[in-house]
Amino acid sequence: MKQIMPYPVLVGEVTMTVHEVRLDDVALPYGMISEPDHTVALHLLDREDWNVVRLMLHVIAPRHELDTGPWFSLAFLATASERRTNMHSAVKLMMRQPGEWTGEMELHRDDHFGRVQVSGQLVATVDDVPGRVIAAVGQPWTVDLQARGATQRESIQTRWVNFAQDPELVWCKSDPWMVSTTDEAAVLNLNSGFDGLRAVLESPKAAERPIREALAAQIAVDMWTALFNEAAHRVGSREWPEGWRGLVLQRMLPDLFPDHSLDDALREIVNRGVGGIQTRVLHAAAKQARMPRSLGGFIRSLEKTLPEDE
Amino acid sequence: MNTTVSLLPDEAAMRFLTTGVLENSEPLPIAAIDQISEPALWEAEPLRQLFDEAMKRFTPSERTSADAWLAPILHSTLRLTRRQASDSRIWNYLALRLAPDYVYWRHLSRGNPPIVSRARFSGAFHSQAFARLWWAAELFRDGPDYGPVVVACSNQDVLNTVLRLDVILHRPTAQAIIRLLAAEVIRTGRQVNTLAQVVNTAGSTLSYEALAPDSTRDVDAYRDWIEELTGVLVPYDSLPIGPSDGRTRSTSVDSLARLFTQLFTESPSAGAMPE
Repeated sequence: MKQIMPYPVLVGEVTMTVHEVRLDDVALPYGMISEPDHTVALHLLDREDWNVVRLMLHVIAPRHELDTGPWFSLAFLATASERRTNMHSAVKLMMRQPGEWTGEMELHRDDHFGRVQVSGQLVATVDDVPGRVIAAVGQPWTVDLQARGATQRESIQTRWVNFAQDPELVWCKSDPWMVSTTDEAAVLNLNSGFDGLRAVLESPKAAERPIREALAAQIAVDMWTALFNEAAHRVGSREWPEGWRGLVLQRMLPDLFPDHSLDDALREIVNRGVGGIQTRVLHAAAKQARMPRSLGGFIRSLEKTLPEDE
Repeated sequence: MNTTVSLLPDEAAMRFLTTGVLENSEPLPIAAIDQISEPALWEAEPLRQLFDEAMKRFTPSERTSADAWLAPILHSTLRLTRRQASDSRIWNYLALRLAPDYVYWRHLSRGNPPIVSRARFSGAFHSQAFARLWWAAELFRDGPDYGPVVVACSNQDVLNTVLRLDVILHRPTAQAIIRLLAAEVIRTGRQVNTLAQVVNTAGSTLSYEALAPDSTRDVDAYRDWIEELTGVLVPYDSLPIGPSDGRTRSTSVDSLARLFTQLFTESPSAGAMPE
């Protein structure tokens, strides 16, 4: 909870772990729980006949801060929600010791369709007001009933290639970069034959950092715009496209239509057509380009190839 | 008429909803709709009868009043899990194939030329002609009691504004809002919108779930209710009985109703409102 509140809230991070998942009372192999992606990949089971899934949850909040803060009657409420099925349920977890809660959450198959977000809030009495939300889980979990891709891991890759020597890219050999896509992956091709591009992007000099970042941002805006448009063209209905296309849409739609739920935003694309939303696409692409940290493939890989300025 | 309801994909629905169709000057392409729809198992006839009955009971000038009558009976006649109800294809089929006449009757605007908004045929759950009534019944019923649904659907601002708020997915919050309406603490559309706004805003810093715990829903009872449908004749003249999956705790609804009354009377815009 980083927004400003009219009462003291927790500064430290609240983390949630799913340490066991039981499907109709049979434990799932741990491989279906992806800790790095905070995803439970139920759809991998390829089973349609289950009724209920139980998630064993463990929550930790910074104990020292809780001990010294102005909060009383602490309680942790775990929540499971899915906008598509209008489900939002909450369970109170048990406090094991100060700053630590455990408990279980049930999801019924009849109540859910695709991606269920499992999160939670830390609630306390503050200044005599009960029920104040003082923190939320920093990184919520997703229980995936539908998607095909195993995890949320990015499938957007970056590579250096000399366009003039690549039969598929020779047609645009004087362009500095080009996005190419297949059903499985999206690739950002950087043209190593373009004079100076590599020198700027890989320059270790701090003095060149502004220009490097400006260039990286511009590449990113171009890339996100291209990826969005390609993905949006594949949207035919309310169904989410699979793979990287779905990821790109889920990431950018909240910036295109901030007042809409994700599903509604998807419908807007269908209703208006890709052509009718280009200014919004540009806005969302620019926003993606400005926040490389939380984003995937491309900038992360650029950061890897680029030595830090020290 | 087909004997069961089918599933019509959004993409196809959008293609069929031409301006001419929306203005009711061109017919919907029935054969094409049938060809692309995927069969499902729900019986079509009881639903068709229900829509006919609604158009018989209410004159065109009273058409908004049909919502409160129709919502509980529709929910009780078309028994779906939430998973099923989240599938827009079923609602598309109802609107484009089974009862487009009802959609025109209920939602044709009085403009020139008169037109039905596309979202009434195929759209978000809170806009689509039938989905909005079904979901209003599902989200506002108190276990088996459809009484609160009638209160909710008698007020267009509840359907248009409150229904789409995330906070009402917590059942005691939904029930507390309805209680304020039933007790006439709030009456006008503006008051409903003000209440919705203050409840939603306060909900970002207060956990209604912590203040007013909900009882666990009995998922098996809901399943049983779906399976019971065969052999049940849903009444038209009295409220049907909904699934016995558990009522909200009255203490929870009481405390939220008190809190919401306070939030509402303290809100700056409430004082300035004409009665």
